[in-house]
Amino acid sequence: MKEPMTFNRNEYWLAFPLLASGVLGALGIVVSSHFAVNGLIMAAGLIVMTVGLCYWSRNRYRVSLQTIEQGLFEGLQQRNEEVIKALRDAHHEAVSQASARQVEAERNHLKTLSTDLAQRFDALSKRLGGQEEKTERGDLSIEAQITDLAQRFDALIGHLDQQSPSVEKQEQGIDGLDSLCQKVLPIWSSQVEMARVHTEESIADLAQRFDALSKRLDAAVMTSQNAVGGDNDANGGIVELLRDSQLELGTITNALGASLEDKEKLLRSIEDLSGFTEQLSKMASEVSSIAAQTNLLALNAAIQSARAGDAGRGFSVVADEVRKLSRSSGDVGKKITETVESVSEAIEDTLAISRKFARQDEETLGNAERIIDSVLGSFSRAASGLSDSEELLRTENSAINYEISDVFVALQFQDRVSQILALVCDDLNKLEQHLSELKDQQTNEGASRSVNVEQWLEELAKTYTMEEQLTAHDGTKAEIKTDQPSITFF
Amino acid sequence: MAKTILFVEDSASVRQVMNSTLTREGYDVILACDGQDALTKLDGTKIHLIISDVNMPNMDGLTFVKSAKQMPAYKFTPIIMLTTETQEAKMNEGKAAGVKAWIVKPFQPAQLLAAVSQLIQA
Repeated sequence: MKEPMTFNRNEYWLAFPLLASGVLGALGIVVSSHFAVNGLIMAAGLIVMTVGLCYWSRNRYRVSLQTIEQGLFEGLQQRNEEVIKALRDAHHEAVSQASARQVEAERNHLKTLSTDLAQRFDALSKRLGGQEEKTERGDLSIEAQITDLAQRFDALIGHLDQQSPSVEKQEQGIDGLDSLCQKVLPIWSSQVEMARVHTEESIADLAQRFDALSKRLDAAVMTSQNAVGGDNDANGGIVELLRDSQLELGTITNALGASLEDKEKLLRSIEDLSGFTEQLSKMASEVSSIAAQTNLLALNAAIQSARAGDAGRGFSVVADEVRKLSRSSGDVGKKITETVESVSEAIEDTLAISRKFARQDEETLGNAERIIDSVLGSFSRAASGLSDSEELLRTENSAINYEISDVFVALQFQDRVSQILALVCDDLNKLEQHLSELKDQQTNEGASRSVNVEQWLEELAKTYTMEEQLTAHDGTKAEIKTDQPSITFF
Repeated sequence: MAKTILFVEDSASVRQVMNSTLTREGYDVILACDGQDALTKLDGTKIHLIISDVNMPNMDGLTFVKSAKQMPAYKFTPIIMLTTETQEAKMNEGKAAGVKAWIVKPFQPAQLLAAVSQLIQA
């Protein structure tokens, strides 16, 4: 809360200049009017006095402000000091309490540590074959426990001094391990490298065999496809062959049909010829009949010429000649009849044989058409079966090619395995070389040997190129990645 | 006319797999077992695409790529890196050297062939 401002004792004088100037002004006016002094001189005097009074009053006012300020400053300083003192006291008190709590916590922590350390000493003494001390230390103070631990530490050092020969034996054992590592590491490295090379060669051979298998399968499918459907070089497949065969066999059956028709025409011609032989037979009979009538006529003429005596002697010669001619005509008529009969029999025989052949040809043609239809049907079914087989083969080939593509992906994991093994080999060789260098260094300088494990592991981690290597390096069980490959285009 | 591809890889099995994959698609394939061997193959022969591993003995893939890009005949030949390497620093190094694509093994033949076709036609 603000206190009301009070004037100091000098502050009453602040009104004095104003009062004095008023009195002097009034005195000046009175004097100037009654004593007839020059107004300008009086005014100047009055101004000088007023300026002097103003200057004096300003100084007084400044002194007064300084006094007020000093009073206020002193008051505030006093209050601040009081507040600071109170805060300092409170801080000291809080720090003291916190320190006490911290000291208590530290004491408890130290107590826990010393107890734990004592237990470890017990365990260490027991492992080193020393006498086990089991004393109750819970009631001892920290200082007492630390003193106790120092004593036990001295005792342990003495015990270790006594055990130094056995420690040297252990050091000798570590030397043996180094020698073993130097000898066995190259062997491990060469074994791993040999396994890696064998695997790589086998996988390459396997890939080659898969490739050959795939190509042979492709060739087989192509051959089958060409055999069934034909190739691009205008060589027809079995379907086209079947179609061509059907056309050509149709041509043959048509030719056979045409031949059969020709034979039927021939048969009809022979039958017509048979009709002619009948007519010839009739004509031969008429010739025989004419010859017989002529003979009878010649006989009558001979009889009549004989009756006529010598006058008919010439006529009888003619009659004899006519009778001879009639006998010859009769003989010719008989021969014609016989020949016509023979011809007729031959024609009949030919006709019979031709009819028989015509029936046989008709049957043969019918059989041929049935057989051709049957054979073409069989071929068609076989071609259909082949086409189905070819389609199945093509489908299977596509599936096998897809599988082989997956096999090619799987075979590439050998490369990842090979890189991992190569890195292990390199590190084994590096370790062997490092051990050899350390051994030489110790032999020459007698210096102690050491391996910077963290640096070694860090350098090893830098050589990794795959995520699974880093995962395995961190101690996690790593698996070879089988994700889809990533392609990044720049 | 068949396109020619140079494949650089130290693993015999991956070489065989890649050779089978590419020849089945009708490409002519030239094989090399490391970067030095690959440089001897760059004798002026027309090569339409180079596929290379990164970690190889004698000469690694990125050194080979940088050397190949110095040759006028192969300055503009597209290059694919095929590797187990996934470190971003290596990928950036490859990109700076002029590599067009970075494929992490194992590769799927179909995807690889698509990338090869795309880069050869580009």
